[in-house]
Amino acid sequence: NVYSCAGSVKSTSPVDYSQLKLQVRLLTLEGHMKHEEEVNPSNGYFMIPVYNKGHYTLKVSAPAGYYFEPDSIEIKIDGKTDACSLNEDLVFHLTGFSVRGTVDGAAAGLPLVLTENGKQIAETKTEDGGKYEMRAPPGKYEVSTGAGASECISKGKTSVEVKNAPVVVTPNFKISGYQLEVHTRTESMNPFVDAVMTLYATSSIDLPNIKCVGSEGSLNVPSTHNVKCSIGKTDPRGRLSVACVPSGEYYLAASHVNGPKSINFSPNPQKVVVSQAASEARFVAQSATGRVRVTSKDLPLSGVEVLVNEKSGGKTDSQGYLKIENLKEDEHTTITAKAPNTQFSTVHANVKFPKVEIQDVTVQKFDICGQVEKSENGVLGKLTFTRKDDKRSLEIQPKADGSFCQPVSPGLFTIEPTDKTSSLTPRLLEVEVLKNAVTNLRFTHFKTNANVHLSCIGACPTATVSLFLPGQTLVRSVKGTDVFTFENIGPGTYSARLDDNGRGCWEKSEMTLVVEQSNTQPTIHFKQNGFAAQIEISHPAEIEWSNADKKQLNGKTSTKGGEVISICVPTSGVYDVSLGSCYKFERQQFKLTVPFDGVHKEKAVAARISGTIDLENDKNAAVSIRIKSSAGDREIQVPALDNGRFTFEEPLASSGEQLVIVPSSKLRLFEPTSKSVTVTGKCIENAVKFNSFRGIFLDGSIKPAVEKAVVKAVLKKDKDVVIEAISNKDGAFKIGPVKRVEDYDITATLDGFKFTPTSTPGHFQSVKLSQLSIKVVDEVTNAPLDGVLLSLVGGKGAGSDYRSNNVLDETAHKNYVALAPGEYFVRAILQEYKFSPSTSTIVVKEGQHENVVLKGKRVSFSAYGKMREMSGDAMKDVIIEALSEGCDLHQSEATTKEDGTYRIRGLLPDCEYQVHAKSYADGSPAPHSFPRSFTVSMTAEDVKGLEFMATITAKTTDIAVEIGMDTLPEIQSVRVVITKNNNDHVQVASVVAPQHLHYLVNLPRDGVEYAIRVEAEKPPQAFAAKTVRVVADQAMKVARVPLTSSKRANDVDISVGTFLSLPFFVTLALVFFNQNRVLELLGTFIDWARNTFAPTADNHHRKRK
Amino acid sequence: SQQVGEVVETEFHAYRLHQYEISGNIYGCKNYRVSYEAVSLGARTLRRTMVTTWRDLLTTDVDDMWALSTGAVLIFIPDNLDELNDIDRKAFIDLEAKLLSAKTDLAVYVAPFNDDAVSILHDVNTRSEKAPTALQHLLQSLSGNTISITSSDQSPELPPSYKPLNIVGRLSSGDRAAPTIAFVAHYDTQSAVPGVSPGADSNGSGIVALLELLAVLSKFYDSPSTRPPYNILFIWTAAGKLNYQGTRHWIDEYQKGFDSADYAKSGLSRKGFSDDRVDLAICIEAIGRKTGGFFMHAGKTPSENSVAAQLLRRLKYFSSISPKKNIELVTKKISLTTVSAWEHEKFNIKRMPAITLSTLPSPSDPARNSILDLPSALDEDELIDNIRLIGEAVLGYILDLPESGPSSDSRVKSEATMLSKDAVDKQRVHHFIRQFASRPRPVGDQRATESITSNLASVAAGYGNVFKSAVTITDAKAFGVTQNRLVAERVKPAVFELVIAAGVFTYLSAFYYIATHSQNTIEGTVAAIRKSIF
Repeated sequence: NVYSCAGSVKSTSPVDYSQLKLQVRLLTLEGHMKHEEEVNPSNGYFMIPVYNKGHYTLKVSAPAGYYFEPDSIEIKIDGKTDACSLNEDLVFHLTGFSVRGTVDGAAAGLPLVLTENGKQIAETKTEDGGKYEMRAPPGKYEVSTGAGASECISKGKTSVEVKNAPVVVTPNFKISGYQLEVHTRTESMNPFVDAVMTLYATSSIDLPNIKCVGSEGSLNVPSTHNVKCSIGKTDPRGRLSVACVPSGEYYLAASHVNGPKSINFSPNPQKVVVSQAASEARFVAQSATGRVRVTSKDLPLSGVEVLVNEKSGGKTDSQGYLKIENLKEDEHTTITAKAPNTQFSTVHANVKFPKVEIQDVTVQKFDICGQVEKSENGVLGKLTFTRKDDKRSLEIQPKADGSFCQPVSPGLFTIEPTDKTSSLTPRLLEVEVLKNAVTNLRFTHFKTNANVHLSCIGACPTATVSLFLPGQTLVRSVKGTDVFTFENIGPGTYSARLDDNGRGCWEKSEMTLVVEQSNTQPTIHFKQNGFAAQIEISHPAEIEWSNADKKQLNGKTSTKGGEVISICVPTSGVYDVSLGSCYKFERQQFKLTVPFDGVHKEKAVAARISGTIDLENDKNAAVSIRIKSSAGDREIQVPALDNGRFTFEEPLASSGEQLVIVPSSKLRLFEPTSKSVTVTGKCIENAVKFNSFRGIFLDGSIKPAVEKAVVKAVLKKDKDVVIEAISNKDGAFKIGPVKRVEDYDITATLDGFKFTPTSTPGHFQSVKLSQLSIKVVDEVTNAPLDGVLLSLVGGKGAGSDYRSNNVLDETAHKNYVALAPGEYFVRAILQEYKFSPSTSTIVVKEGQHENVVLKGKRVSFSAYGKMREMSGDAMKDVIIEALSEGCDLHQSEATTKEDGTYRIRGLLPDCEYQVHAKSYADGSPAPHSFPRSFTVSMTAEDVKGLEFMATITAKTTDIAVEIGMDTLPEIQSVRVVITKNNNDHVQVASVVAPQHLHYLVNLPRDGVEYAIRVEAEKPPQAFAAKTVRVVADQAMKVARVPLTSSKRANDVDISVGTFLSLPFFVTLALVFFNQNRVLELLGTFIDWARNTFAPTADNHHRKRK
Repeated sequence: SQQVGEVVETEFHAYRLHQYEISGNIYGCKNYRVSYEAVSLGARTLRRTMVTTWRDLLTTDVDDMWALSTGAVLIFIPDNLDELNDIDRKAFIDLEAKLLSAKTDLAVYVAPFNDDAVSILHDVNTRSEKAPTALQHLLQSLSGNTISITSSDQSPELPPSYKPLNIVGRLSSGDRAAPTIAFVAHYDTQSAVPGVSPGADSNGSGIVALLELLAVLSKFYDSPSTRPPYNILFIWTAAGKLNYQGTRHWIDEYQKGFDSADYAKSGLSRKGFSDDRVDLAICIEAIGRKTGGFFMHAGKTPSENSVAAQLLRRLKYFSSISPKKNIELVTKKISLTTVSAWEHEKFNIKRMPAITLSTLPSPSDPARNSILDLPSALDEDELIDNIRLIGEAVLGYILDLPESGPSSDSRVKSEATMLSKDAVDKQRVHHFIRQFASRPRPVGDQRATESITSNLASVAAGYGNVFKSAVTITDAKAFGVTQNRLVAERVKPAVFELVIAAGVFTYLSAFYYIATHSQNTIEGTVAAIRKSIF
């Protein structure tokens, strides 16, 4: 089976492949090249035949300087899921080219970067001789030195344009500038961060990220250096390097300004000379300038004299600030302020470069001073100071002359006579001591009356006037109709308020009453200018009213809703009130009789929701919207005039619900098609916005006209949306309505024709297609070649997209119909065959039938065979390898098929191959085979019948136990117990005579020791049990177990008599050798016997008697 | 009872001349009982045991002797037959021929020569010698020793229940319908004196070959993937020397299906065997001698495509690779009426394809039935080579390997042999020879027969399935008493007993005298004692 790995080398830029001689290589995982294929020069197409499943790598081989993405493609051909088996395109994108060049005079290691609009694309470092190479896709770039370079190239950068080939940057770069390094530090040797460096030059420096402007001159900088360049800030290490400063004389100034705070450096400015090498400048931060603020309870105090280290430093400005100069780091500076009747805090300046912190100087105490008038009886009343915020109070005893002066921290105070019964006025005084001291308070015993008059329209109603002291302290209320008198009130500023229960409208309902220590009684007037009615509207609304009788009496007011408001009408009577709002009320208009006691209430029932549809000023759109809610659908016409603005009202009760708004029109299409809105209970302006497009009907055409071509328009975003049409005899068709023609892929198809879309969507150019017949035969025999992989690729005129890969059957014939006219490249690929030329060009003309015969020459040959089990079953998926040591390790392999057969292709004549089973396809080791290998001396002819058979490999051991049972004929049966590894039972068997052999076979030959114990079965002690050990290390181990009876046949029973015989014979011998003595003894014995037996005889006699 | 000095009674094993019956004809010696005085060979007298050595017998015309109706013959043969020189060997073979052809009513025994034999022969010969004078001859006849030889009584008829067993080992391909190759070898031995002939080559080598082939081939049947598509039978047949009784019995059983009782015993279904289609029965006999090859005996030249022809071609192919061997086909027409010459003929009679492999060129080779067929005559390496060759050829056949090696393409070379060099194991073969080919196992020896069958079954069970079946011997008969215990007693002649009788009379007379005079003597003695005491 042949797999074709096809694809193309693509490039965004036009590349001439024919010049490049691009090749795609098929490599094994080990990196051995299996195949090399030239890329079709006209369109970058390639196709590589793969004959065996397995793991491969595809790689593009191109001249230096061309880069591809991906670099290589790994393919695991399994015949089913891989890209080759699925005929997917393998695409190598030519993504980049090298950018090479030389920097003259640069040492190795000069960092260079390639940037595109400031964005870094690639970076590198120069090699010896200043050479460099970088990689970039087509585009316009700049080459410049990278960060950290101490030298820089001429102009700092050079533009390079990469088009379709590697670029050599010419002319060579020259070193044009050097690094300038600036260090800033404090006197305590810490780095100074964020010092702003400014370079003064005689002319502008053209460096990236550096701006140069004309300078009006700077202190200590000669006027020749009239260009000021900001070169940046020092980094956290206190450093700043500038890459590409041309040789020259410069002045460098350091500054650090943070609002009012600034740091002074020394020496500043410095003269810097750059020439032939990197140079350096060092700055030391010396002193700081800061400012202090004087406040009282966060309020700035201006014009206050500030003391710095107890010396006057000046007065604060309007914002309470004062600049303090020459602050040294880590030096003690005390700052405070001075003002009459005021005490200030003292602060210290905290200077730590670049931080300059000076706390505000705050007021600690203000004096409250005043005079208390003695009473008629000469008593000097005490005063009670009460702090308003925390109600702390303080009792003050004025001095004998009635004056008092009390320092207090800033705040609001009430001051009142301690004695409530005293006639001192004011009775209560509110004093604000926030910005300055209060020094002129007066408490006297003076009292007078105040009058309030009402001027009413018609009769005055009953009303109440209340008098308040500052701070809303109610002094007194008086009820009456037109005149009110407040008696015996002290001097002071009061406010008087009128309350008529909302019946009338007044010019002012609150007025200020000033009581002075004079004889004239103060008087104020309240003037009525109309009548009031009180209304409460639940939601914001504009309220318009007009007199029912006199329409000219009208007015309007507004409410934010949910509050009681008064409307004032000039005369009493009946009024029409109307509510204007985006809400809909229960009653949008109602009548109100003024004056009106009580509150008129109106509740909103619905809120307005509005949205827009962009109708593109289409007056004939006839758009309506459908509002879908749980209550049901509503349809609302969208007025064409208001350019698609629509409103509708939604009951407040449906608050929280989702509304879906769907616009519809017969002519227009909407985007989005629907939108949902959540009802909040409030009016929603512009809740939704729709765009709309006018639907289009596309009139398409095919030229020259082709009838019955099927035209399909497929929505790009949603392939399910398909609009079909069929062309008429004029080649015209109509597709629509569509939103935008560009959203659709429109194709036309008809067998035998090729339709090429023109630049206008929906218009096609038709070409009647031609036929191409290709036949592949053997050069010698002219026999058709089976299994040829035929690749046809379109070239010039035919459209380079055309490609067709086919494996030919035994007829080796392929008919291509419906080919567009043009140039085609045809390639025939068959393993073991060579076709020359490898690629032929065929020109197909419109409507013509081309016949092509390709001839192949057989150059290598196959070995056929089979692999099977001993049982005859086929073994599949075994890799059979043929390897020739003599021919440069030429290797070829094949995997056995389902029926066990294999064919190793591509074996070269005159090579000797070792053919053997290599492994299984999954990599597991191949089975042992018979024969292990074939040695094949290849000729120009196939070899057949290399049949392998898998064999057994396991070596076994048989144990034969020879039991010596013939030596003990009485033993009828024995038990054989076989154990291994110390008592792992292997077998227990009974061996019954006349059998005396026992076998244990097919044990693994693993060197394990087996213990064979032969023991009696019955009776238990017939013979001694015997154990023999053998080791499983040979094909057959024989264990001989001789049996010996535990009772020996030769044993003689030794009786007690045997033991007594020796003393008996010894006694006998003694008797023999001492006959005389024995006779003597015998005589004595007889005597004794006689004496003994005589009495017995007597007794006997006696008895007889 | 013993006498100081000379042994008067000695017991020894003696081996009886063969006795069997085929088609009503009885061969060998019909008698087994010995209870006669020993005489030397020359003394042709009835009711005597003629004692002689094998050399003496050679020079004697024994036909007259065989014709005697009562009496016995005891022949001493060399105790170590391996040490015979070539001349003696030839002589011994002549003796065998004489014994084989013997047909007699005498009880004929042979016994290995030993010290007792020397003593017995001396006595026998002394008596038979003529004394120089008549007196001496008289004295000699009066006082000289006479030897009486007696056998322990046994019946030559085997018990009716005794039936030797066929042992069948089987390697199964797992497919019942698969064809079968059968290896056949009879395991019994036979010679003029069956009790002494171990039959190492005929057919010990056959037994060993089958055992080893079973051990080697069984490895292939362990796993389904290596199991060849053939069933293999290993049949050790009983009573081969009695016109292949076991073979005939097995074929009968095979052709009519298993005898129900036996198959019940085997525990296999009846189908187990009846489905076997025997492609070829390969009978093996006597392949253990160094002859540089062996013969394939067949009833006729096998046809081109027959299994036998394929096997022959394969044997020839493998024997052309080292070690080189000469394999020849020998055809011999089968006689349906006479005793079968080769074991395969039993199959051929029943129209089953069979051949015999043997180093012997002819079935009439005396080596098939010789006492001298000893283990020492076996060449183990040759036997191993032959087993390998047979195994390789059969394996090639059942695995369907190309006949002429793995590839016939001249451009292709490869190893040709399937079996590894040590597949046929030297040690195992040696063990099998020692255990199965080194002891006499005539069918008439019930104990030896039962021993070998049980041991054969034990081995075969290790490697495959085992079936046993009892063989009924028809139109032939085996007889027992292949060996016997003989007791030789030294006895004086009858005249000598008169001399002893005279001695007894004298003794009795003296006793009578003493008895009659004892009264007086005792009284005198008592008086003397009394006197001495008082």
